[in-house]
Amino acid sequence: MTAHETEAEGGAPDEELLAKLAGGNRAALRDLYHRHAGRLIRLASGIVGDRTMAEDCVHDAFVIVCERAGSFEPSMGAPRAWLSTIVRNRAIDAIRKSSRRRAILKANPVSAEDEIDNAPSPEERASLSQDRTRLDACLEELRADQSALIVAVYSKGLSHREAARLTGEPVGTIKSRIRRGLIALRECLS
Amino acid sequence: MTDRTTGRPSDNAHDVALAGEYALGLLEGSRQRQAALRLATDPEFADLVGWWRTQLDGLARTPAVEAAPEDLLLRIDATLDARADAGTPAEASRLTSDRGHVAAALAWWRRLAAGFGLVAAGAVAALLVILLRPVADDQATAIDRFALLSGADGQPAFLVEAVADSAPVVRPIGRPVAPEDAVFEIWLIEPEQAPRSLGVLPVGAAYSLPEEVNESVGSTLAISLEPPGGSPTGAPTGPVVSTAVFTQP
Repeated sequence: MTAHETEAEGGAPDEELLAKLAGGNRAALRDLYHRHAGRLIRLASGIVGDRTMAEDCVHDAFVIVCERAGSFEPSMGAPRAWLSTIVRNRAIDAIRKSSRRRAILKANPVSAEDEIDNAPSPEERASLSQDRTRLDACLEELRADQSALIVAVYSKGLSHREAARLTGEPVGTIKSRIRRGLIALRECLS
Repeated sequence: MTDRTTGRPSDNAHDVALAGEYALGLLEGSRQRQAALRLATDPEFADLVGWWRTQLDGLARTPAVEAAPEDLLLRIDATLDARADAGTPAEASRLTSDRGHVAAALAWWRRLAAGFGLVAAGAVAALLVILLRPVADDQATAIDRFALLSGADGQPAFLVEAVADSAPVVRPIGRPVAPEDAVFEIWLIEPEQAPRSLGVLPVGAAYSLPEEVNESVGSTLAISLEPPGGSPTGAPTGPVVSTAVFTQP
């Protein structure tokens, strides 16, 4: 993590920072930014494949968050998940409008092996949250092709059609594989 | 669907998968619209989507995250300052809170419907479909400028919509039909200026207007009935069946 205080280390909870942000508190913005921006840039980079474009997405997302902080509701998910959703969607929006999309995907083909290779090492895993390791454990319980697809769709912002094109399988097969994977993942995580 | 005693969404497999697909941004077309509508109207489904978002966010929890660049924070601050100075309202129609987004779309529709008085049920349904099309924060960008124009029968027939800086698009609502031997031609009427033709509308298909129409927010768009091929004079020659101000929601 960054040198800045994290929530786990005793910083103000994200919910509290969002509430302050809704009141126009820029210090809360800085805390949220330092806590999350690094991973959010990485998340966006995985989708758009370009650091500058990724930073633009994170820029837009934080502007949105500042303007929408008052509308945050816990049912939208955890605050950090809300941030991720906004950034991911900005990235998907940006890349789907860009001609770079096909080239990026061509350079980053999807395969179960790739996703498994990209999984954290045991040392890295130790530094990750309990939620992440639980998610990892459940993903490993799924069929490899299901978990690889779910991870690829999330991390690369793929559509069904893009996933089908990359894997060379029919869209219907991709859809049912993801659905079955999600249902199995749900059972495991619950 | 949610077990309120445990706080855990229940296990309806269809909804589990649907909510997961929604959270992943995989839904498109009518399935995406239906899911967005459920998200706005069904708290239990919304809880399930929120649950998925939180779970999947685990995939964004990466080790050894690099420090965030300070210059980006400065850029965010500068944007916020500029927007505050300009009095720019929140990008309510563009941004990504899906429930707020759907609510905004619905409120906007109600205003439009009220303006039109009694609107045929089919047209209402078609309009709702159009308005809900871009609701989700997954794929969506909402409409930034619009005009709703009626056809020869007085019912809503064309929605002119523009997103961000892209060229406005005229979308037919249902399948508006011009009287025999006539076509719909669309005009831009700016203050103190003669109507300018923006083209003859194709039957049953979307039609892009010039990008510069985006600069004419507050001006009037009009539909007239013209001979096949459009007005022979460059000015409206047939009856004007509808006018509407090109405006922001």
